[in-house]
Amino acid sequence: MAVEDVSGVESGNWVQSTEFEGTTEDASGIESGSRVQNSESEEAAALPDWEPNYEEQNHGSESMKGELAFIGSMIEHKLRTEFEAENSAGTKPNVDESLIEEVIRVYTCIRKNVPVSRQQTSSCELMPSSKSGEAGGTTKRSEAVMHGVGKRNEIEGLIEQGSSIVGNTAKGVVVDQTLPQRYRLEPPRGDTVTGIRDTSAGKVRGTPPKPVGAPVIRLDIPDAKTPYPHVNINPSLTGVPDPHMRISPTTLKVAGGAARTLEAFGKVARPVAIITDTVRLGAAVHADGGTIGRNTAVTAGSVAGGWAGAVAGGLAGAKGGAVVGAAVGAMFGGLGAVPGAAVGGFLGGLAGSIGGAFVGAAAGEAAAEAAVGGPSNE
Amino acid sequence: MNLAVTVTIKEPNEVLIDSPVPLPSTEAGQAWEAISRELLVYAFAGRAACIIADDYRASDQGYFEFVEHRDQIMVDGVLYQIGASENCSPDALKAIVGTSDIWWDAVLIAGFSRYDESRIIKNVRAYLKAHSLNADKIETEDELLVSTGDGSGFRWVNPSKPVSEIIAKVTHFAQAVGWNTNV
Repeated sequence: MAVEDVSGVESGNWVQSTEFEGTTEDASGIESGSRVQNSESEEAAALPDWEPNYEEQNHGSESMKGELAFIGSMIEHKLRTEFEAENSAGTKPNVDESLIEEVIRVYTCIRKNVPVSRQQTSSCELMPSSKSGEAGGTTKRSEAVMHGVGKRNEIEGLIEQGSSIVGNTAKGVVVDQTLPQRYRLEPPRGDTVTGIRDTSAGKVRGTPPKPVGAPVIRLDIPDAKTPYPHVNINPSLTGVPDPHMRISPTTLKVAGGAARTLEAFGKVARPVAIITDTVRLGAAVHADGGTIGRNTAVTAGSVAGGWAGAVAGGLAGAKGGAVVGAAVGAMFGGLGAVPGAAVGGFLGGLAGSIGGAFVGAAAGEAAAEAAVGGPSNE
Repeated sequence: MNLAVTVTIKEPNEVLIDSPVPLPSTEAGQAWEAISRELLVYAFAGRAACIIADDYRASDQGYFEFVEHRDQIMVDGVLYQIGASENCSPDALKAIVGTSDIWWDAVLIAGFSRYDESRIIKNVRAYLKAHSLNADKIETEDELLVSTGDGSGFRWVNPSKPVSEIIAKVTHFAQAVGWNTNV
């Protein structure tokens, strides 16, 4: 389990020292969305080439986006390292139901901005968010970010505690071995670059009868009526109209490329998760009126943190997916919550790594919410 | 909210029938499906028609069960599912609406008098060419109705019905679900 220490925060820039097993990474400067890293390890140089994309629009807080992206990149580097190690070991995870309950409890506390007790033995409270904008030794916003990171560390501590109970096999899940094969990638078809298919949906046919499956989410190139890259959500499965959510060309390219590349290597869960994250971010941008706003920032933090949870262990499963789905669904506003539930269903269905990602998502959201001024009352 | 079907007449012989994108509610989505069903039945029920869908997954959708002649054709490396009927069933046409294929704009309905492989290939190529070039015109002399805009509209090329009748019918279908019509 990684231990991350924030050693300095200054005017929106922050310095992070992350200890990995056998490696150390130092980031010496983050400024206004740019990322500068000094690394003495070869692993640090091998940062993921498929980072979640936070550049939906060129609006909003660039420095915040930079911070979130940096958190995400650090997390994903670790994720990759640990997954590779677990894959080579060929281990299978255990799932501890009591830990699932604990995870949901912590997440709920964070969402409600109430004190989070630690296994009934210790407690902490979210620091009151600052909205005054007063100058100080550190900015109020960076204090909030720092506090959010501290919260993440605390939750990771919980995860580590749980992992020690269930053993090392629960720490770092071999996603491709645990993925229930309900959700599959859609191969390209027509304008669709990639997508997710629910193999348990659709008409029931054959002998013995079984569902033929149906696409749930598609990532499409522009067409005549929707002249920008967009996400389609199948109305016949969700019961609500297709939102045609706008995404950036870069996001489409990254998601499509990652899906194809990883699928070619038999890595199914990760591209599904990438697409899911894409949809979540798309929903957030939609809720923010097409700009980087509060929902986008929080969701980006959740996405970044989500990968941390995946590293820590696959724990939550369907319960976590349902909670996340409700949160995502709320972002659809007038379009209804059902698409969000569908997205959440992916998280729930991916019992294992992505379910575990729910844990980290809570932590990431806490950091992001602190950065934007505390949890929303909406 | 007053929703409307937009009917666009494109010369020389093409009609576009579109819903708003995105639709604002579940009820609006159901209303558009009802309009779509009526439109397809009006266009092809009781006459010769050929349903052409790309991809092997199309055969899972069920609407091919309602046609007499089923086949597969490979056109330029892509497999197409074909369902042809001399007397097309309204059930087949209704079953197309709401499927993933129409949501995927992967269904073409052609007004062929009988199953004709070379004619199918010719029309598929004409459609693909127009789609890939985002062209205004599909180069075909046959009647062809295709789904557009992720199932949010239809492009009806060389319709067998008079344009004025199409407008009147679409207006009627729209009024039945409380929608207006913009021409």
